Amino acid sequence: MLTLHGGGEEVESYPSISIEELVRQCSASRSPGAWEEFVRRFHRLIATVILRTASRLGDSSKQTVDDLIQETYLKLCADDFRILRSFEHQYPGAFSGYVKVVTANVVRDYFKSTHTKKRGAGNLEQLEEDFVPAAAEDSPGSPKSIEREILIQEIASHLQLCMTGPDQERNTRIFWLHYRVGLSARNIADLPGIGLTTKGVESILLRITKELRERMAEPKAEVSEQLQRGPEGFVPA
Amino acid sequence: MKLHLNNKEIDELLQSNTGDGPVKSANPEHLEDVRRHLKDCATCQMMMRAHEHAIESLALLKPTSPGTKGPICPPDYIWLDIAAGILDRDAENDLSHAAQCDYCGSLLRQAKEDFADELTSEEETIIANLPSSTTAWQGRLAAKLQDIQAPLEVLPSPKDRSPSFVRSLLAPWRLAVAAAIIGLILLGLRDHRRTADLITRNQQATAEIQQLKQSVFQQNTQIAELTAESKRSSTLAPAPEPQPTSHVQIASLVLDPGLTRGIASLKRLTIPAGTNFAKITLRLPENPDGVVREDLVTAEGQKKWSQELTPPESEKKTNSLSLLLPVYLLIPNDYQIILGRQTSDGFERFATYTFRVTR
Repeated sequence: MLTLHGGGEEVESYPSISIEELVRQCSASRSPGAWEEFVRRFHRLIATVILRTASRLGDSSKQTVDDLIQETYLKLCADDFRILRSFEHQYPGAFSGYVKVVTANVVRDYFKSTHTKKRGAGNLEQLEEDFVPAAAEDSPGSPKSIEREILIQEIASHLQLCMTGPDQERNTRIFWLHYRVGLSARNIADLPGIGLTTKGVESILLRITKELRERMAEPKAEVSEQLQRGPEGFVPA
Repeated sequence: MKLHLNNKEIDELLQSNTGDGPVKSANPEHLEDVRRHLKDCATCQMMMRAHEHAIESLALLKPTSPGTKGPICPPDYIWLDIAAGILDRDAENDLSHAAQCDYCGSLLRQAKEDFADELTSEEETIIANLPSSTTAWQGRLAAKLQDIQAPLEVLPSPKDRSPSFVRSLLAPWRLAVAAAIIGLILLGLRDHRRTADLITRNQQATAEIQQLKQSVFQQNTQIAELTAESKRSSTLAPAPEPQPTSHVQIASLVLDPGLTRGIASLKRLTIPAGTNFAKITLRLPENPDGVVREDLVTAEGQKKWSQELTPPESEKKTNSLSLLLPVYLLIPNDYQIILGRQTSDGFERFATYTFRVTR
Protein backbone atom coordinates (compact mmCIF):
# COMPACT_ATOMS: atom_id res chain seq x y z
CA MET A 1 0.00 0.00 0.00
CA LEU A 2 1.48 3.33 -1.04
CA THR A 3 0.47 6.69 0.28
CA LEU A 4 1.64 10.27 0.46
CA HIS A 5 2.10 12.13 3.70
CA GLY A 6 3.78 15.22 5.09
CA GLY A 7 4.31 17.64 2.22
CA GLY A 8 3.47 15.01 -0.31
CA GLU A 9 7.13 14.28 -1.05
CA GLU A 10 7.59 11.21 1.09
CA VAL A 11 6.24 7.92 -0.16
CA GLU A 12 5.62 5.31 2.50
CA SER A 13 4.49 1.74 2.41
CA TYR A 14 2.39 1.24 5.57
CA PRO A 15 2.88 -2.48 6.05
CA SER A 16 6.64 -1.98 6.32
CA ILE A 17 6.80 1.01 8.69
CA SER A 18 7.64 0.60 12.36
CA ILE A 19 4.91 0.59 15.01
CA GLU A 20 6.32 3.84 16.39
CA GLU A 21 5.98 5.58 13.02
CA LEU A 22 2.56 4.04 12.39
CA VAL A 23 1.27 5.29 15.76
CA ARG A 24 2.68 8.73 15.01
CA GLN A 25 0.97 8.87 11.63
CA CYS A 26 -2.36 7.66 12.99
CA SER A 27 -2.43 10.37 15.64
CA ALA A 28 -0.96 13.15 13.50
CA SER A 29 -1.95 12.82 9.86
CA ARG A 30 -4.93 10.52 10.40
CA SER A 31 -4.59 9.16 6.91
CA PRO A 32 -7.01 6.33 6.06
CA GLY A 33 -4.15 4.07 5.00
CA ALA A 34 -2.43 4.44 8.36
CA TRP A 35 -5.60 3.58 10.26
CA GLU A 36 -6.33 0.56 8.06
CA GLU A 37 -2.82 -0.71 8.75
CA PHE A 38 -3.16 0.02 12.47
CA VAL A 39 -6.41 -1.98 12.71
CA ARG A 40 -4.96 -4.78 10.56
CA ARG A 41 -1.77 -5.00 12.59
CA PHE A 42 -3.34 -5.00 16.07
CA HIS A 43 -6.52 -6.96 15.31
CA ARG A 44 -5.08 -10.38 16.11
CA LEU A 45 -3.43 -9.21 19.35
CA ILE A 46 -6.54 -7.40 20.60
CA ALA A 47 -8.92 -10.19 19.54
CA THR A 48 -6.77 -12.82 21.29
CA VAL A 49 -6.63 -10.97 24.61
CA ILE A 50 -10.38 -10.28 24.46
CA LEU A 51 -11.26 -13.86 23.53
CA ARG A 52 -9.23 -15.32 26.41
CA THR A 53 -10.28 -12.82 29.06
CA ALA A 54 -13.94 -12.88 28.00
CA SER A 55 -13.95 -16.71 27.96
CA ARG A 56 -12.67 -16.74 31.53
CA LEU A 57 -15.24 -14.15 32.61
CA GLY A 58 -18.17 -15.94 31.02
CA ASP A 59 -19.18 -14.57 27.58
CA SER A 60 -17.00 -14.96 24.51
CA SER A 61 -19.74 -14.80 21.87
CA LYS A 62 -18.72 -13.33 18.51
CA GLN A 63 -20.92 -10.30 19.11
CA THR A 64 -19.37 -9.55 22.51
CA VAL A 65 -15.81 -10.08 21.23
CA ASP A 66 -16.37 -7.79 18.22
CA ASP A 67 -18.02 -5.10 20.37
CA LEU A 68 -15.10 -5.21 22.77
CA ILE A 69 -12.58 -5.03 19.90
CA GLN A 70 -14.25 -1.84 18.69
CA GLU A 71 -14.41 -0.51 22.25
CA THR A 72 -10.67 -1.10 22.67
CA TYR A 73 -9.81 0.92 19.55
CA LEU A 74 -12.10 3.73 20.71
CA LYS A 75 -10.35 3.66 24.08
CA LEU A 76 -6.98 3.97 22.35
CA CYS A 77 -8.30 7.00 20.44
CA ALA A 78 -10.07 8.60 23.38
CA ASP A 79 -9.36 12.12 24.49
CA ASP A 80 -8.22 13.24 21.05
CA PHE A 81 -5.72 10.37 20.63
CA ARG A 82 -3.97 11.30 23.89
CA ILE A 83 -2.62 7.77 24.39
CA LEU A 84 -1.22 7.56 20.88
CA ARG A 85 0.22 11.06 20.97
CA SER A 86 1.89 10.79 24.36
CA PHE A 87 3.12 7.18 24.26
CA GLU A 88 6.88 6.84 24.69
CA HIS A 89 8.27 3.90 22.77
CA GLN A 90 11.03 3.17 25.26
CA TYR A 91 11.84 -0.32 24.01
CA PRO A 92 10.65 -2.74 21.31
CA GLY A 93 7.29 -4.23 22.10
CA ALA A 94 6.36 -1.51 24.59
CA PHE A 95 3.34 -0.36 22.59
CA SER A 96 2.08 -3.90 22.01
CA GLY A 97 2.39 -4.52 25.76
CA TYR A 98 0.47 -1.35 26.43
CA VAL A 99 -2.29 -2.35 23.98
CA LYS A 100 -2.59 -5.71 25.79
CA VAL A 101 -3.11 -3.97 29.14
CA VAL A 102 -5.64 -1.49 27.70
CA THR A 103 -7.53 -4.40 26.08
CA ALA A 104 -7.61 -6.47 29.27
CA ASN A 105 -8.92 -3.46 31.21
CA VAL A 106 -11.65 -2.80 28.62
CA VAL A 107 -12.87 -6.40 29.00
CA ARG A 108 -12.73 -6.33 32.79
CA ASP A 109 -14.58 -3.02 32.97
CA TYR A 110 -17.26 -4.37 30.63
CA PHE A 111 -17.84 -7.50 32.70
CA LYS A 112 -17.70 -5.56 35.95
CA SER A 113 -20.45 -3.23 34.76
CA THR A 114 -22.52 -6.12 33.33
CA HIS A 115 -22.18 -8.01 36.59
CA THR A 116 -23.18 -4.96 38.63
CA LYS A 117 -26.27 -4.42 36.45
CA LYS A 118 -27.29 -8.07 36.79
CA ARG A 119 -26.94 -8.07 40.56
CA GLY A 120 -28.73 -4.75 40.87
CA ALA A 121 -26.52 -2.01 42.20
CA GLY A 122 -27.40 -0.78 45.64
CA ASN A 123 -29.31 -3.87 46.79
CA LEU A 124 -27.68 -5.12 49.96
CA GLU A 125 -28.44 -8.37 51.72
CA GLN A 126 -28.71 -8.34 55.50
CA LEU A 127 -26.75 -11.10 57.23
CA GLU A 128 -27.39 -12.33 60.76
CA GLU A 129 -24.71 -11.26 63.23
CA ASP A 130 -23.77 -14.83 64.09
CA PHE A 131 -23.74 -15.98 60.46
CA VAL A 132 -20.70 -18.14 59.86
CA PRO A 133 -20.22 -19.13 56.21
CA ALA A 134 -19.40 -22.74 55.52
CA ALA A 135 -15.68 -23.17 54.91
CA ALA A 136 -14.64 -24.51 51.54
CA GLU A 137 -12.57 -27.67 51.47
CA ASP A 138 -9.44 -25.75 50.56
CA SER A 139 -10.18 -22.51 52.43
CA PRO A 140 -7.49 -21.16 54.78
CA GLY A 141 -7.40 -23.28 57.92
CA SER A 142 -8.88 -26.39 56.31
CA PRO A 143 -6.91 -29.66 56.73
CA LYS A 144 -6.02 -29.62 53.03
CA SER A 145 -4.71 -26.07 53.20
CA ILE A 146 -2.72 -26.80 56.38
CA GLU A 147 -1.16 -29.87 54.74
CA ARG A 148 -0.14 -27.72 51.79
CA GLU A 149 1.36 -25.07 54.08
CA ILE A 150 3.42 -27.75 55.82
CA LEU A 151 4.57 -29.11 52.46
CA ILE A 152 5.55 -25.59 51.34
CA GLN A 153 7.60 -25.09 54.50
CA GLU A 154 9.24 -28.50 54.14
CA ILE A 155 10.20 -27.82 50.54
CA ALA A 156 11.38 -24.30 51.40
CA SER A 157 13.76 -25.71 54.00
CA HIS A 158 15.14 -28.28 51.53
CA LEU A 159 15.39 -25.59 48.89
CA GLN A 160 17.46 -23.38 51.17
CA LEU A 161 20.03 -26.17 51.41
CA CYS A 162 20.07 -26.70 47.64
CA MET A 163 20.67 -23.05 46.77
CA THR A 164 24.06 -21.41 46.91
CA GLY A 165 25.82 -18.60 45.12
CA PRO A 166 24.93 -15.09 44.03
CA ASP A 167 21.82 -16.14 42.05
CA GLN A 168 20.24 -17.89 45.02
CA GLU A 169 17.44 -15.36 45.36
CA ARG A 170 16.59 -15.32 41.65
CA ASN A 171 16.70 -19.12 41.40
CA THR A 172 14.42 -19.51 44.42
CA ARG A 173 11.98 -17.10 42.79
CA ILE A 174 12.10 -19.11 39.55
CA PHE A 175 11.41 -22.34 41.44
CA TRP A 176 8.31 -21.01 43.22
CA LEU A 177 7.02 -19.20 40.13
CA HIS A 178 7.12 -22.52 38.29
CA TYR A 179 5.92 -24.97 40.91
CA ARG A 180 3.63 -22.80 43.03
CA VAL A 181 2.32 -20.17 40.61
CA GLY A 182 2.34 -22.55 37.64
CA LEU A 183 4.27 -20.43 35.12
CA SER A 184 6.07 -22.20 32.30
CA ALA A 185 9.82 -21.73 31.77
CA ARG A 186 9.04 -19.49 28.79
CA ASN A 187 6.67 -17.29 30.77
CA ILE A 188 9.25 -16.96 33.54
CA ALA A 189 12.00 -16.04 31.07
CA ASP A 190 9.73 -13.28 29.69
CA LEU A 191 9.28 -11.66 33.12
CA PRO A 192 11.16 -8.44 33.86
CA GLY A 193 14.35 -8.86 35.88
CA ILE A 194 14.82 -12.59 35.27
CA GLY A 195 17.45 -12.04 32.58
CA LEU A 196 17.49 -15.59 31.24
CA THR A 197 16.41 -17.36 28.09
CA THR A 198 13.77 -20.09 28.18
CA LYS A 199 16.59 -22.68 27.97
CA GLY A 200 18.34 -20.98 30.88
CA VAL A 201 15.22 -21.14 33.05
CA GLU A 202 14.61 -24.78 32.06
CA SER A 203 18.16 -25.68 32.96
CA ILE A 204 17.87 -24.03 36.40
CA LEU A 205 14.54 -25.76 37.07
CA LEU A 206 15.96 -29.13 36.05
CA ARG A 207 18.98 -28.76 38.32
CA ILE A 208 17.04 -27.51 41.33
CA THR A 209 14.33 -30.15 40.92
CA LYS A 210 16.92 -32.94 40.74
CA GLU A 211 18.78 -31.74 43.84
CA LEU A 212 15.56 -31.17 45.72
CA ARG A 213 14.17 -34.57 44.79
CA GLU A 214 17.33 -36.26 45.99
CA ARG A 215 17.18 -34.41 49.30
CA MET A 216 13.50 -35.17 49.79
CA ALA A 217 14.03 -38.84 48.94
CA GLU A 218 16.93 -39.26 51.37
CA PRO A 219 15.91 -41.83 53.99
CA LYS A 220 15.20 -40.39 57.41
CA ALA A 221 17.65 -41.24 60.21
CA GLU A 222 15.55 -44.05 61.73
CA VAL A 223 15.01 -45.64 58.33
CA SER A 224 18.76 -45.68 57.71
CA GLU A 225 19.25 -47.34 61.09
CA GLN A 226 16.67 -49.98 60.27
CA LEU A 227 18.38 -50.66 56.97
CA GLN A 228 21.65 -51.29 58.76
CA ARG A 229 20.12 -53.45 61.51
CA GLY A 230 19.54 -56.27 59.08
CA PRO A 231 16.70 -58.78 59.51
CA GLU A 232 14.05 -56.27 60.67
CA GLY A 233 14.77 -53.85 57.84
CA PHE A 234 15.28 -54.25 54.13
CA VAL A 235 17.94 -56.70 53.12
CA PRO A 236 20.41 -55.22 50.69
CA ALA A 237 20.31 -57.03 47.35
CA MET B 1 25.33 -58.73 41.62
CA LYS B 2 24.77 -55.04 40.88
CA LEU B 3 25.16 -52.52 43.70
CA HIS B 4 22.18 -50.33 44.63
CA LEU B 5 21.04 -47.71 42.15
CA ASN B 6 22.70 -44.33 42.41
CA ASN B 7 20.93 -40.98 41.93
CA LYS B 8 22.04 -40.74 38.29
CA GLU B 9 20.47 -44.09 37.48
CA ILE B 10 17.28 -43.21 39.33
CA ASP B 11 17.21 -39.96 37.40
CA GLU B 12 17.53 -41.82 34.09
CA LEU B 13 14.81 -44.26 35.08
CA LEU B 14 12.43 -41.45 36.08
CA GLN B 15 13.07 -39.57 32.85
CA SER B 16 12.56 -42.68 30.74
CA ASN B 17 9.36 -43.55 32.66
CA THR B 18 7.76 -40.14 32.43
CA GLY B 19 9.22 -39.11 29.09
CA ASP B 20 9.99 -35.82 30.84
CA GLY B 21 13.11 -34.55 29.14
CA PRO B 22 15.77 -36.40 27.18
CA VAL B 23 17.22 -39.61 28.58
CA LYS B 24 20.90 -38.97 28.86
CA SER B 25 21.93 -42.60 29.29
CA ALA B 26 24.32 -43.40 26.48
CA ASN B 27 23.81 -47.09 27.00
CA PRO B 28 20.33 -48.61 26.68
CA GLU B 29 21.67 -51.98 27.88
CA HIS B 30 22.79 -50.36 31.11
CA LEU B 31 19.29 -48.96 31.59
CA GLU B 32 17.91 -52.47 31.12
CA ASP B 33 20.32 -53.75 33.80
CA VAL B 34 19.10 -50.98 36.09
CA ARG B 35 15.48 -52.00 35.46
CA ARG B 36 16.22 -55.65 36.18
CA HIS B 37 17.95 -54.74 39.42
CA LEU B 38 15.04 -52.55 40.48
CA LYS B 39 12.62 -55.41 39.90
CA ASP B 40 14.42 -57.60 42.42
CA CYS B 41 15.70 -55.09 44.97
CA ALA B 42 13.35 -53.90 47.72
CA THR B 43 15.74 -51.18 48.89
CA CYS B 44 15.97 -49.63 45.45
CA GLN B 45 12.20 -49.94 44.98
CA MET B 46 11.79 -47.96 48.19
CA MET B 47 14.29 -45.36 46.99
CA MET B 48 12.52 -45.14 43.64
CA ARG B 49 9.16 -44.73 45.40
CA ALA B 50 10.65 -41.93 47.55
CA HIS B 51 11.81 -40.09 44.43
CA GLU B 52 8.41 -40.50 42.78
CA HIS B 53 6.76 -39.28 45.97
CA ALA B 54 8.97 -36.15 45.92
CA ILE B 55 7.85 -35.43 42.35
CA GLU B 56 4.21 -35.90 43.35
CA SER B 57 4.73 -33.50 46.28
CA LEU B 58 5.97 -30.79 43.92
CA ALA B 59 2.74 -31.11 41.95
CA LEU B 60 0.78 -30.41 45.15
CA LEU B 61 2.36 -26.97 45.51
CA LYS B 62 -0.10 -25.44 43.04
CA PRO B 63 -3.07 -23.89 44.84
CA THR B 64 -6.51 -25.33 44.20
CA SER B 65 -8.22 -22.00 44.89
CA PRO B 66 -7.13 -18.48 43.93
CA GLY B 67 -6.43 -17.40 47.53
CA THR B 68 -7.46 -14.18 49.23
CA LYS B 69 -5.93 -10.74 49.00
CA GLY B 70 -3.79 -9.81 51.99
CA PRO B 71 -2.78 -6.46 53.44
CA ILE B 72 0.67 -6.51 51.84
CA CYS B 73 -0.48 -7.52 48.34
CA PRO B 74 0.31 -4.88 45.69
CA PRO B 75 -2.57 -3.47 43.62
CA ASP B 76 -4.05 -5.93 41.09
CA TYR B 77 -3.16 -3.87 38.00
CA ILE B 78 0.56 -4.46 38.68
CA TRP B 79 0.25 -8.03 37.41
CA LEU B 80 -1.12 -6.92 34.04
CA ASP B 81 1.78 -4.47 33.67
CA ILE B 82 4.34 -7.11 34.67
CA ALA B 83 2.86 -9.73 32.35
CA ALA B 84 2.86 -7.25 29.47
CA GLY B 85 6.43 -6.16 30.29
CA ILE B 86 5.57 -2.49 30.76
CA LEU B 87 6.03 -2.00 34.50
CA ASP B 88 7.96 1.23 35.01
CA ARG B 89 9.73 0.11 38.18
CA ASP B 90 11.80 -2.78 39.46
CA ALA B 91 9.60 -5.90 39.48
CA GLU B 92 11.83 -8.17 41.59
CA ASN B 93 10.04 -7.55 44.88
CA ASP B 94 6.65 -7.94 43.25
CA LEU B 95 7.70 -11.23 41.62
CA SER B 96 9.07 -12.53 44.94
CA HIS B 97 5.71 -11.66 46.49
CA ALA B 98 3.74 -13.40 43.70
CA ALA B 99 5.92 -16.49 44.16
CA GLN B 100 4.74 -16.73 47.79
CA CYS B 101 1.15 -15.45 47.50
CA ASP B 102 -1.62 -17.60 45.99
CA TYR B 103 -3.82 -14.56 45.27
CA CYS B 104 -1.20 -12.49 43.41
CA GLY B 105 0.37 -15.60 41.86
CA SER B 106 -2.94 -16.56 40.26
CA LEU B 107 -3.42 -13.01 38.89
CA LEU B 108 0.05 -13.10 37.38
CA ARG B 109 -0.56 -16.54 35.83
CA GLN B 110 -3.91 -15.44 34.39
CA ALA B 111 -2.35 -12.31 32.91
CA LYS B 112 0.50 -14.30 31.35
CA GLU B 113 -2.00 -16.79 29.90
CA ASP B 114 -4.19 -14.01 28.50
CA PHE B 115 -1.22 -12.18 26.97
CA ALA B 116 0.56 -15.20 25.48
CA ASP B 117 1.52 -14.62 21.84
CA GLU B 118 0.88 -18.17 20.64
CA LEU B 119 -2.68 -19.12 19.74
CA THR B 120 -4.17 -22.57 20.00
CA SER B 121 -5.69 -23.94 16.80
CA GLU B 122 -9.13 -23.47 18.38
CA GLU B 123 -8.40 -19.79 19.06
CA GLU B 124 -7.07 -19.37 15.52
CA THR B 125 -10.34 -20.73 14.13
CA ILE B 126 -12.55 -18.59 16.37
CA ILE B 127 -10.66 -15.40 15.55
CA ALA B 128 -10.57 -16.16 11.83
CA ASN B 129 -14.37 -16.55 11.89
CA LEU B 130 -15.07 -13.28 13.70
CA PRO B 131 -16.84 -10.65 11.56
CA SER B 132 -14.12 -8.24 12.73
CA SER B 133 -11.51 -10.34 10.93
CA THR B 134 -12.89 -9.34 7.53
CA THR B 135 -11.26 -6.55 5.56
CA ALA B 136 -14.64 -4.81 5.18
CA TRP B 137 -15.22 -4.64 8.96
CA GLN B 138 -11.69 -3.40 9.57
CA GLY B 139 -12.03 -0.81 6.79
CA ARG B 140 -15.24 0.53 8.35
CA LEU B 141 -13.61 0.72 11.78
CA ALA B 142 -10.52 2.43 10.32
CA ALA B 143 -12.75 5.05 8.67
CA LYS B 144 -14.61 5.58 11.95
CA LEU B 145 -11.37 6.01 13.90
CA GLN B 146 -9.98 8.36 11.30
CA ASP B 147 -13.12 10.50 11.53
CA ILE B 148 -12.82 10.99 15.27
CA GLN B 149 -12.12 14.73 15.45
CA ALA B 150 -10.92 14.88 11.83
CA PRO B 151 -9.04 18.12 11.12
CA LEU B 152 -11.06 20.84 9.43
CA GLU B 153 -10.72 21.23 5.69
CA VAL B 154 -8.46 24.14 4.71
CA LEU B 155 -10.25 26.83 2.78
CA PRO B 156 -8.66 28.29 -0.40
CA SER B 157 -6.74 31.57 0.01
CA PRO B 158 -8.71 34.90 -0.44
CA LYS B 159 -7.08 35.74 -3.79
CA ASP B 160 -8.63 32.61 -5.26
CA ARG B 161 -12.07 33.58 -4.11
CA SER B 162 -14.52 34.89 -6.72
CA PRO B 163 -18.00 36.46 -6.20
CA SER B 164 -19.50 33.13 -7.13
CA PHE B 165 -17.35 31.62 -4.45
CA VAL B 166 -18.82 34.08 -1.89
CA ARG B 167 -22.32 33.23 -3.10
CA SER B 168 -21.57 29.59 -2.85
CA LEU B 169 -20.35 30.21 0.71
CA LEU B 170 -23.81 31.54 1.56
CA ALA B 171 -25.53 28.44 0.22
CA PRO B 172 -27.95 27.00 2.84
CA TRP B 173 -26.10 23.72 3.31
CA ARG B 174 -22.83 25.60 3.89
CA LEU B 175 -24.56 27.82 6.46
CA ALA B 176 -25.91 24.74 8.16
CA VAL B 177 -22.42 23.20 8.29
CA ALA B 178 -21.01 26.49 9.62
CA ALA B 179 -23.70 26.59 12.32
CA ALA B 180 -22.86 23.03 13.25
CA ILE B 181 -19.16 23.89 13.46
CA ILE B 182 -19.89 26.95 15.62
CA GLY B 183 -22.07 24.77 17.82
CA LEU B 184 -19.26 22.27 18.17
CA ILE B 185 -16.80 25.05 19.04
CA LEU B 186 -19.20 26.38 21.70
CA LEU B 187 -19.60 22.88 23.08
CA GLY B 188 -15.82 22.59 23.10
CA LEU B 189 -15.54 25.88 25.02
CA ARG B 190 -18.10 24.65 27.52
CA ASP B 191 -16.11 21.43 27.92
CA HIS B 192 -12.98 23.51 28.31
CA ARG B 193 -14.62 25.51 31.13
CA ARG B 194 -15.75 22.27 32.76
CA THR B 195 -12.24 20.87 32.47
CA ALA B 196 -10.82 24.04 34.07
CA ASP B 197 -13.37 23.70 36.86
CA LEU B 198 -12.44 20.06 37.39
CA ILE B 199 -8.74 20.96 37.47
CA THR B 200 -9.43 23.59 40.17
CA ARG B 201 -11.42 21.06 42.18
CA ASN B 202 -8.65 18.53 41.76
CA GLN B 203 -6.11 21.06 43.08
CA GLN B 204 -8.34 21.79 46.07
CA ALA B 205 -8.71 18.09 46.78
CA THR B 206 -4.94 17.60 46.53
CA ALA B 207 -4.41 20.42 49.03
CA GLU B 208 -6.95 18.81 51.39
CA ILE B 209 -5.18 15.46 51.05
CA GLN B 210 -1.89 17.15 51.93
CA GLN B 211 -3.50 18.67 55.03
CA LEU B 212 -4.92 15.30 56.05
CA LYS B 213 -1.52 13.64 55.50
CA GLN B 214 0.05 16.30 57.71
CA SER B 215 -2.57 15.64 60.36
CA VAL B 216 -1.99 11.87 60.21
CA PHE B 217 1.76 12.47 60.45
CA GLN B 218 1.26 14.60 63.57
CA GLN B 219 -0.95 11.95 65.13
CA ASN B 220 1.56 9.21 64.31
CA THR B 221 4.27 11.28 65.98
CA GLN B 222 2.03 11.59 69.03
CA ILE B 223 1.46 7.82 69.05
CA ALA B 224 5.17 7.15 68.73
CA GLU B 225 5.86 9.49 71.65
CA LEU B 226 3.21 7.85 73.79
CA THR B 227 4.47 4.36 72.82
CA ALA B 228 8.02 5.35 73.72
CA GLU B 229 6.79 6.82 77.02
CA SER B 230 4.84 3.66 77.77
CA LYS B 231 7.86 1.50 76.99
CA ARG B 232 10.12 3.68 79.13
CA SER B 233 7.76 3.39 82.06
CA SER B 234 7.47 -0.40 81.64
CA THR B 235 11.30 -0.65 81.57
CA LEU B 236 11.71 1.34 84.74
CA ALA B 237 8.82 -0.11 86.67
CA PRO B 238 7.27 -3.23 85.18
CA ALA B 239 4.07 -3.26 87.20
CA PRO B 240 2.11 -0.05 86.56
CA GLU B 241 -0.50 -0.04 83.81
CA PRO B 242 -0.96 3.39 82.19
CA GLN B 243 -3.54 5.09 84.34
CA PRO B 244 -6.14 7.34 82.87
CA THR B 245 -5.23 10.92 83.68
CA SER B 246 -7.26 14.01 83.43
CA HIS B 247 -5.72 14.61 80.00
CA VAL B 248 -5.50 11.21 78.36
CA GLN B 249 -8.04 8.39 78.68
CA ILE B 250 -6.82 4.93 77.69
CA ALA B 251 -8.89 1.77 77.10
CA SER B 252 -6.94 -1.48 77.28
CA LEU B 253 -7.26 -5.05 76.04
CA VAL B 254 -5.05 -8.14 76.18
CA LEU B 255 -5.15 -10.47 73.16
CA ASP B 256 -3.96 -14.02 72.54
CA PRO B 257 -2.80 -15.06 69.08
CA GLY B 258 -4.85 -17.24 66.73
CA LEU B 259 -8.10 -17.08 64.88
CA THR B 260 -11.30 -16.92 66.91
CA ARG B 261 -13.96 -19.55 66.39
CA GLY B 262 -17.42 -18.01 66.58
CA ILE B 263 -18.72 -14.66 67.74
CA ALA B 264 -18.97 -15.59 71.42
CA SER B 265 -15.25 -16.07 71.92
CA LEU B 266 -14.35 -12.84 70.12
CA LYS B 267 -12.58 -10.43 72.48
CA ARG B 268 -14.27 -7.06 72.76
CA LEU B 269 -12.73 -3.68 73.29
CA THR B 270 -15.32 -1.28 74.63
CA ILE B 271 -14.32 2.33 74.20
CA PRO B 272 -16.11 4.69 76.61
CA ALA B 273 -16.85 8.25 75.59
CA GLY B 274 -13.90 10.58 76.13
CA THR B 275 -11.28 7.89 75.59
CA ASN B 276 -8.28 9.04 73.57
CA PHE B 277 -6.20 5.91 73.09
CA ALA B 278 -6.53 2.14 73.19
CA LYS B 279 -3.64 0.13 74.59
CA ILE B 280 -3.61 -3.38 73.15
CA THR B 281 -1.24 -5.94 74.63
CA LEU B 282 -0.45 -8.84 72.33
CA ARG B 283 0.72 -12.10 73.88
CA LEU B 284 3.39 -13.46 71.57
CA PRO B 285 3.58 -17.14 70.57
CA GLU B 286 7.38 -16.74 70.40
CA ASN B 287 9.92 -13.98 70.69
CA PRO B 288 10.72 -12.56 67.28
CA ASP B 289 14.25 -11.43 66.53
CA GLY B 290 14.73 -8.10 64.82
CA VAL B 291 12.09 -5.80 63.40
CA VAL B 292 8.39 -6.58 63.75
CA ARG B 293 5.53 -5.10 61.74
CA GLU B 294 2.08 -4.54 63.21
CA ASP B 295 -0.83 -4.14 60.78
CA LEU B 296 -4.33 -3.22 61.92
CA VAL B 297 -6.81 -4.55 59.36
CA THR B 298 -10.61 -4.34 59.33
CA ALA B 299 -12.85 -7.37 58.76
CA GLU B 300 -13.22 -6.16 55.18
CA GLY B 301 -9.47 -6.37 54.70
CA GLN B 302 -8.80 -2.62 54.74
CA LYS B 303 -5.51 -1.69 56.36
CA LYS B 304 -6.13 1.08 58.93
CA TRP B 305 -2.75 1.47 60.54
CA SER B 306 0.73 -0.01 60.47
CA GLN B 307 4.07 0.38 62.23
CA GLU B 308 7.44 -1.32 62.29
CA LEU B 309 9.48 -1.55 65.45
CA THR B 310 12.09 -3.55 67.33
CA PRO B 311 10.41 -4.98 70.45
CA PRO B 312 12.06 -3.62 73.62
CA GLU B 313 13.88 -6.09 75.88
CA SER B 314 11.42 -5.48 78.73
CA GLU B 315 8.52 -6.73 76.59
CA LYS B 316 10.53 -9.64 75.19
CA LYS B 317 10.91 -10.91 78.76
CA THR B 318 7.16 -10.99 79.23
CA ASN B 319 6.52 -12.46 75.75
CA SER B 320 4.23 -9.59 74.90
CA LEU B 321 4.05 -6.49 72.77
CA SER B 322 1.97 -3.39 73.48
CA LEU B 323 0.64 -0.88 71.03
CA LEU B 324 -1.17 2.37 71.53
CA LEU B 325 -3.77 3.31 68.98
CA PRO B 326 -5.78 6.52 68.74
CA VAL B 327 -9.44 5.60 69.18
CA TYR B 328 -10.53 7.52 66.09
CA LEU B 329 -9.06 4.60 64.13
CA LEU B 330 -11.24 2.11 65.96
CA ILE B 331 -14.81 2.65 64.81
CA PRO B 332 -17.12 -0.21 65.86
CA ASN B 333 -16.16 -3.20 63.68
CA ASP B 334 -14.21 -6.46 63.79
CA TYR B 335 -10.45 -6.09 63.44
CA GLN B 336 -7.33 -8.17 63.03
CA ILE B 337 -3.86 -7.26 64.13
CA ILE B 338 -1.33 -9.05 61.98
CA LEU B 339 2.19 -9.38 63.29
CA GLY B 340 4.93 -9.93 60.77
CA ARG B 341 8.63 -10.54 61.36
CA GLN B 342 11.31 -9.34 59.01
CA THR B 343 12.85 -11.86 56.64
CA SER B 344 15.12 -11.43 53.65
CA ASP B 345 12.01 -11.25 51.41
CA GLY B 346 10.13 -8.67 53.47
CA PHE B 347 7.75 -9.41 56.33
CA GLU B 348 6.44 -12.88 57.10
CA ARG B 349 3.21 -13.22 59.10
CA PHE B 350 3.73 -15.01 62.41
CA ALA B 351 0.72 -14.18 64.56
CA THR B 352 -2.83 -12.91 64.10
CA TYR B 353 -5.12 -11.40 66.74
CA THR B 354 -8.84 -10.84 66.33
CA PHE B 355 -11.09 -8.51 68.31
CA ARG B 356 -14.27 -6.47 68.10
CA VAL B 357 -14.64 -2.79 68.94
CA THR B 358 -17.83 -1.55 70.55
CA ARG B 359 -18.69 1.88 71.90
